Amino acid sequence: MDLKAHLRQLCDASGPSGYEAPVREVIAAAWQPWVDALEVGKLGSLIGLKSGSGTEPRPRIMLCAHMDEIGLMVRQIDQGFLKVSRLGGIDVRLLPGMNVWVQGQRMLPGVVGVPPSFALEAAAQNEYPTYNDLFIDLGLPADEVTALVSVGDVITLDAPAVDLQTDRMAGKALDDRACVAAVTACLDILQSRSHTWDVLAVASVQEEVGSWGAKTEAFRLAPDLAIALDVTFGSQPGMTGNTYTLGEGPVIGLGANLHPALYQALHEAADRLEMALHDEPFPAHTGTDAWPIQISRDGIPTALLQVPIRNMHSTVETVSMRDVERTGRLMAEFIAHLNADFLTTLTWDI
Amino acid sequence: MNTPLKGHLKEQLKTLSEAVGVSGAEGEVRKLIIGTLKEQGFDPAIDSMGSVSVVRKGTGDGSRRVLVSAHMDEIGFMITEMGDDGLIHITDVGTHDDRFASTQRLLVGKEKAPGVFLWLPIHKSVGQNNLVKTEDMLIDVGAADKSSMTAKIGESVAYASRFTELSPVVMRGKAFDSRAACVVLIALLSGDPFPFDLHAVFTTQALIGGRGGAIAAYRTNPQAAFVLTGFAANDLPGNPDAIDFAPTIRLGAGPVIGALDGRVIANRLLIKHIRKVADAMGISYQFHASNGAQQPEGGAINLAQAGIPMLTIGVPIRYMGSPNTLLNLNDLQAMIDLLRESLNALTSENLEQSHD
Repeated sequence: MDLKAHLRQLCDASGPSGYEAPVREVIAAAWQPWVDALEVGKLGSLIGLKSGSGTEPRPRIMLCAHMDEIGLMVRQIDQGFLKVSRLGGIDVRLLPGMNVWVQGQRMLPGVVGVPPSFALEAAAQNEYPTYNDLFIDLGLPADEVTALVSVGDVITLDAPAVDLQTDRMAGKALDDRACVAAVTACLDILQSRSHTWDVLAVASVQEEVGSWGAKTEAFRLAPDLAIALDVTFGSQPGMTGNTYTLGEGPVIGLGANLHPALYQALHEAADRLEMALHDEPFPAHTGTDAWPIQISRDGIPTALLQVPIRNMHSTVETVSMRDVERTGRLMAEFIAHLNADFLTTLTWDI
Repeated sequence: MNTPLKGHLKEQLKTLSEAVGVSGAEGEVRKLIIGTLKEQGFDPAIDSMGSVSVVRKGTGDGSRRVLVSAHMDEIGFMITEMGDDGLIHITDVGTHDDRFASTQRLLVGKEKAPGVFLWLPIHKSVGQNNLVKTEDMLIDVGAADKSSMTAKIGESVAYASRFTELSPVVMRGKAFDSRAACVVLIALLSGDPFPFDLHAVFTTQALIGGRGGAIAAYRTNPQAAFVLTGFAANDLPGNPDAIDFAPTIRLGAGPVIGALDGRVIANRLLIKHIRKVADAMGISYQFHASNGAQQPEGGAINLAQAGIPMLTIGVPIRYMGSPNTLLNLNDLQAMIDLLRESLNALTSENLEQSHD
């Protein structure tokens, strides 16, 4: 499959937290040929079941990548201009001048406006505007705006993905659609590799507001193992803390949120593939779907695989396709080697 | 009025708006304009600054000359350094509003390679609310190192803005101040001749000091000049206590006559003339009068030769200095109608008497 074209389509689809239906359709269409069943959970997460070849009852592994993106919601309508609230951790500094789609009675293109800089106090001229300063301009008369838009309407950032040089792509929702694409790549590879376990591919909702889709699906599906997938920080000037060079391979988390034996087993899978797998330590909360999955029901051994991106939570999130492809390949290798006894080998003290 | 023209104006504006022409590197826009002028039967000349000019012969004996200028250039950046890490360093060309730059998409170098500004994730920059200057920003074209980059030092970088219709009349896109002016000037070159020779000049380098306009005005030495451009609209929500809060320039409220800016005081008689014509035609218009904002081309033309009576007129534009500005086609059409009629009504007396 053309993984880059798939990711571009995912990235350009709309799906702010709580309003994931359009992107869910795109993922469902892509997964449909690779899975035995598709279903939608109560909060809207998409689950693709790919049955294993083992004898029933088969153990099950959940691959969980969130499909929601950060966005905005109409908070107030003021003389034809829209004031907004956040859906997820959007960076207000990147909003002025941003093109948007307002999902009103119809899709309305607009731009995020701010008062002209000459109309600001001197001190404010060197700062980014706050939420209260900015507004969305639809270029329509006030009465038309009132007829077409309501408080509560959802707004997405209008920033189609662009192909950069080498194998890199920049777009608005690579967090976490890059990982959804990695799951797709894994399902694709598993067509030609036998696996005894059932695979539950999950595109979860509402991660950006608290991993609520992952929490409810982990409960409903009650898998035996889980791999959560998310993005991590790619190297770029000015960064502090751990960063990972784009194109040099996936990143695995380690720490309290993650089962050490599962971490070890994934490293062994990477070794079999002679694939570089980098470590990212997390002292506590990983800030990902892994956090609620780990303590669902009576506990689920959980791992975290990550794809590095630059400019996280912006409209120019940048990824290397090699990292996406390798993440998919690593999961497929791991799953193909899972046998009926694997759970018994999964001890905490290794 | 020429309402059926609107569709054509829109197409022309789209093409010119999406073309790249940063000050000093207006080549792509120049090529488009030369093509259009040739289609109209003109034989355009290119001067030493790269400006394009044609003369529309009038009904008179050629002793009366009116210069109408429209600038071709847009704000952008110039590449100053190609980093070993594959990242590109830049400097500003023209005056930017840095609030708008953060995560815009870019066209880099002569080959217009897609690029993006690097942006430090919010997780790593919470509370850093000071504007990041565009000169301190880095561009990523996806190159792993210097060797694979096609762009070169000195080449320009432009915003990659797509022209979009927000409504049947309101358009979103970049470089509207210059490209709308070009559309108006092209429109003025068709139709019946004027009672004087019209010297139409599509100028370069307006945004870095009106340098193309200066030599065009020297060369043509007209009795009067009209400088076409765009003006920042301020019909926007904001703090009522802020300076200049009360809207003076509104989108859709007609062309803007520049009475005063930091570089020029418009000719009083030309203002009087254009107001009279607009009032008679029932065309609404607005005024710009501020010491702060500058229209360098107007100032440069005003001081060419021994001084040239001039007037700046432009379309209102929201979010000037940003990559995604808004313009109303009704303003564009009204500007064409008003200018055509005002030029037609310019008498010899108008052109001889430059002051009262």
